Amino acid sequence: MKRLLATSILAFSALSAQAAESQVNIYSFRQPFLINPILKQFTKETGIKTKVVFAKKGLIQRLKREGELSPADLVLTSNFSKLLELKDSGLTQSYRLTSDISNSIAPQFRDSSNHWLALTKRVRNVYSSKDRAGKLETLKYEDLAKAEYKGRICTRSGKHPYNLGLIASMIAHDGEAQTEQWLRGVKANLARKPQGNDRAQVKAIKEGLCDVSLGNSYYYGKMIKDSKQKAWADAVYLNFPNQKDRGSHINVSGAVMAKHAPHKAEAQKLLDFLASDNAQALYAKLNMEYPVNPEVKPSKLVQSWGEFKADNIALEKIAENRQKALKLVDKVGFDL
Amino acid sequence: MPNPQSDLALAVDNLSLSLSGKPILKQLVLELSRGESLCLLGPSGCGKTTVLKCIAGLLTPDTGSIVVNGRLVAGKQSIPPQQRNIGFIFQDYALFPHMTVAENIGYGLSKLSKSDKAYRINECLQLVDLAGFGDRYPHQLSGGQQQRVALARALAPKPSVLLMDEPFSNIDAQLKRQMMAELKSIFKKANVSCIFVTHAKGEAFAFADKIAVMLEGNIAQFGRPMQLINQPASVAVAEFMECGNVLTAEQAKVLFPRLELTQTGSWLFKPEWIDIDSTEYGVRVKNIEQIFNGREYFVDITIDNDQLQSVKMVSQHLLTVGAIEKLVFRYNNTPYLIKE
Amino acid sequence: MNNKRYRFNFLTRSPHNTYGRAFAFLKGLTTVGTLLLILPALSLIYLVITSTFSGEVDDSFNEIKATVLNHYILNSLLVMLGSVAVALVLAVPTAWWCSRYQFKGRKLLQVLLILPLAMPAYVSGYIYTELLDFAGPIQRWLRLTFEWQRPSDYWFFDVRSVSGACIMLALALYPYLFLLLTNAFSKQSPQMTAAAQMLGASRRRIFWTVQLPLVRPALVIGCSLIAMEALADFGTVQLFAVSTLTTAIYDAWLVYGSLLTAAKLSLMMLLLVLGILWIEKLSRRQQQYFTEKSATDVSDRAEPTTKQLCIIWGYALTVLGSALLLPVGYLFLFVLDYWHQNTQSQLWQHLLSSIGLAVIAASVASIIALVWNQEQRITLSKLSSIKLSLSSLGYVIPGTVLAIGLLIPLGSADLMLNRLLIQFDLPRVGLILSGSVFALIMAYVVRFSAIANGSVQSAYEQIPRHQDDAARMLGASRFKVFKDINLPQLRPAVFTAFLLVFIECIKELPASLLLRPFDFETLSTYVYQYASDEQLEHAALGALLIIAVSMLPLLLLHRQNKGVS
Repeated sequence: MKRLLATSILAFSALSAQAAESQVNIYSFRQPFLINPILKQFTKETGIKTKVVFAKKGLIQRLKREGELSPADLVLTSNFSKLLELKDSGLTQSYRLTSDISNSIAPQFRDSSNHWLALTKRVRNVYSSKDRAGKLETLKYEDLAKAEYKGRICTRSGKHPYNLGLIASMIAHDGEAQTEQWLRGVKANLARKPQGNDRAQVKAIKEGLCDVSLGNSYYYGKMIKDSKQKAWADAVYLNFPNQKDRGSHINVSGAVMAKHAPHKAEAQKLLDFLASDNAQALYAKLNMEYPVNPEVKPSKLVQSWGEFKADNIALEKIAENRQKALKLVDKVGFDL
Repeated sequence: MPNPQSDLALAVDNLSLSLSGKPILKQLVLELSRGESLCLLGPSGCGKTTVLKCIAGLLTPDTGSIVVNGRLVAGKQSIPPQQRNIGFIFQDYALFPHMTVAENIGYGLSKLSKSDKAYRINECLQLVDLAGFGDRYPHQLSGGQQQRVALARALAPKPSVLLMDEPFSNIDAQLKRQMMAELKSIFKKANVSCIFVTHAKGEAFAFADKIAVMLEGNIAQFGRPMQLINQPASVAVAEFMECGNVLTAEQAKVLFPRLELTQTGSWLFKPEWIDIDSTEYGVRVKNIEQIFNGREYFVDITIDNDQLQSVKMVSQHLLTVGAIEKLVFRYNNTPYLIKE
Repeated sequence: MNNKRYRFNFLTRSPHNTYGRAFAFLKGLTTVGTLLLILPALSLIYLVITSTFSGEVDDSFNEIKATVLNHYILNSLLVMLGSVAVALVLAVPTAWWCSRYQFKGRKLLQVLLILPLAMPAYVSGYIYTELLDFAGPIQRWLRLTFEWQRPSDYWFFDVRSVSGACIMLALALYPYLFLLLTNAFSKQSPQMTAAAQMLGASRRRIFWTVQLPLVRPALVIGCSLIAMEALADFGTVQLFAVSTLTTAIYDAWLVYGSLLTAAKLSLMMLLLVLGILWIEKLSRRQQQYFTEKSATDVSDRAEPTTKQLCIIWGYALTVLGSALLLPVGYLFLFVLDYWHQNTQSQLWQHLLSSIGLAVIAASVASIIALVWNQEQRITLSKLSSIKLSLSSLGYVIPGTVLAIGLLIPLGSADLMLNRLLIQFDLPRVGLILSGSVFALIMAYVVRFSAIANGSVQSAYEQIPRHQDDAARMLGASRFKVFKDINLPQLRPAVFTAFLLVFIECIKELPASLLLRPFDFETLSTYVYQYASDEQLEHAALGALLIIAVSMLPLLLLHRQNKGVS
């Protein structure tokens, strides 16, 4: 008992004092196992330690609350709207546009005032059952509301950022009214209430619960690499929607520098590192995402899924419509 | 079918029971006539509540039979308590706290129609003088009222026999006498046959038609109250009943040198059968204690003798203790020989 | 009367302060402490009131109100009532058998049936989803056997639903009811049963009209406890995609980004909880007439027939199996299958963090329970009884709400503190309150003080006041009375309080999720993150540790109770 108390007191004092040593504090929306290998590499190269708080939700609110006392230096997000939300809430500061960054990341993937920086791209794909739906070469997102898909669609919660991003892009392209109708149509076509993550939908296709599902591209790779989940991936095709018109919806993961970053210099170093070929290659290899650095090719596996046309609408345009998308999801009762 | 020939409300024969290997009841015999109140009187731990529980069916005897109103309820066949038609009033009344008085009383009347039930509840409330209390809850009543509710509840299904476990132990002395009188008149009105259990002689004398003194799992004596006091069946009974001085012939000789007791054994000299005179000769007195009970003095005299240490008697007036050194004892009634 | 004495009168409000300085200090302490304990609730109310008066337009709230709010409330109510109903089905028969029948293994069964309290509902929820889902082994087997193809070909129970959540929550929460009922049933006067029997009632009728109604206080307390826990649940409903008020609060803040909406929803939820408490209070008022002095003597327990024995064991083992054995077995399988992933992480560190936090929080809560109750015992004043009730208020605040309510004032306090330090040219200390384990510990103490209070309070009530008076007459000071007379008798209750709070802290999830500091995980947050990412397999060892760490105190508790009786 005494030892426990001592341990806790130690932990308390260690945590409350802000360490003076060279380190970067990271608020991460991305899961530790995705970024830890890359951070490890960073520490190995620079000697700068990294500390991470991971949460799927709430980090922005936490930053707001902490204000000038926030220990956070960098925020890593898994989607674009979070990047913009951070910037719009005044929680960011501009980083130095070093040659490391400007050389490896196209202007399209970074903020004009250097507040945010995209690190990887991912596609919102449509998975389809090999047996019951086949390869859907000409599919458009819009088609998912058609009657032919009645009772055949699986998806995760409509409020998940990945789906919100897609809905927001639909609003940007098709307008709010049409998107609402589309969303109602998709809801009517659902085989079950939205639940689980993207992987769980593929599993449901494998089991015959539904025939098509929405899911990010990298999950396909991850399932192929997991011995238990490979069977799920083998049951589906990965389709890139809207290839005949605007291209497939893409989202980005990225990073911002926190406004009150206590370790600005170290944070800048980490940003430079994340943009570097080295880190980009790691992203591509470990997470099977598309690097933003054009010099770095996707992994062999990802390349095998084929070339595709990406929707090149400005990311800000999509982010603008995020709140509208959220309200639409509630309005049509998508998750209920 | 009740046996019309039989005058007995209850007959217990040869009842034995052991609990966790300890014999509690030993071949106990007991009879109760119709309309009579019988008291099971005994020290705590003598098994008297166990007898009640056996009669009620809450305990199953090892051997023996119980016949209620001519129907065999325990013995060759055993009838569960809920079919024995026996009323039971528990020491703490066991009123259901979540039911009103009327609901409590009506609990045993589930077989009656709604109107009959209401009528009977009302009847019982009136019987125990609690008309108008039907909607109250038990905790809103005084102790005496609670007991009358318990009585009404037990009487409502018109039981063959009413059993009461220490019914007066929770009532203070002032109220007790009044309660007993009330109960007695209610019993007379309803012609109730009842057995009640107590360890207090006062309650037994005041309430019972007959008393069964119970000692160590058996009935030591059965009879009318006066009989028990004047003619105890054993020394143990005499001692428990505090009948008076129980003396051997030799001991009696110490007090009454001229008394010739022809039979050996124990003789009862009740306190009021003894008189004293203070004289120059006689038995040397060591100490005298006197307790006034409102009418007379109970006197406990310690004497200086090897065979007999103390004598109990009553006196109409306070003895002047310091003046007495020697006493002469006389008896004004023939001593009673306790046969064993 | 000297001046010094008068100085403290503003605290005691009594014309004759006979308690002295130390006591005035105690009162000041409890007053400040109580204010701290209700700080989260106050800050939420403050936020809502000020924003209402400043006319701030809260779009998100109106949006939610117009669209999904009714649905959320309905779901919350359904989850609450459903959990209670299922828990009743699980707890009433088992408690009845364990207290009214005498059979071999009864005592063991009584212990085993309490153990599911150690099982976090979302963990069993996860496992039952694996098992009963469309893609799970059971449905797969059914499809193979009967050659069904599509979900429309047959009906199967959908775990990820309101009813599924109710069952999961009931499986984890029924032991509360079981504990209370076993106690109440065995303390019930056997004379009540006998009296009803003598009036000709059948066994069944006696159970429904006398025995069950007589344990109503325990029944109501147990049910309201479960109702509150079910209402506050976050992990299970989130996992099952059942939108309730808790998930709505979470979303309002973290998805819509509106703290105000979250605060408003939180207050609505508090109202619901107060409703439950009101019912509970009503029943507690009647309890005094219900309590029986006598305890069951062993001979009163009936011997079950062989048929009854089969039913008893069959039912009890089914409950136990589904609440504990099956999920735990599954977790073991996960650990074996994913040994590498399970042992890779800093699990031991999370374990130590969890235990450390729980020990501190449980100690603080126990001390608070002692001090507050002692003050109430000495003064018997309305004020101190109000303080005591207020200090228990946190229990009704769901973890999510509590975290939000704590972050607001603690964040401001940090800000002020740091500005003050800078004024005096001292180095900043950063978020020493809101960004450290302090916030977590405070959240735990606020949330679970009520449990400690309850345990200690009932123990206090069992010590006759005459004892204190007698000791005082023999010249003991108030402190000496507390130390020598009260405390030794309270020790088991304090120990119980400590263990109960400890278990709750180990299992606590929603507040920990929001408040944990940098690089810090508790076992719960660690496990939940994997579960919410549908990868519980990789954190199964963590889940098993949670269960083991909370099971140990449960066993200790049981041993202690046996020692007392």
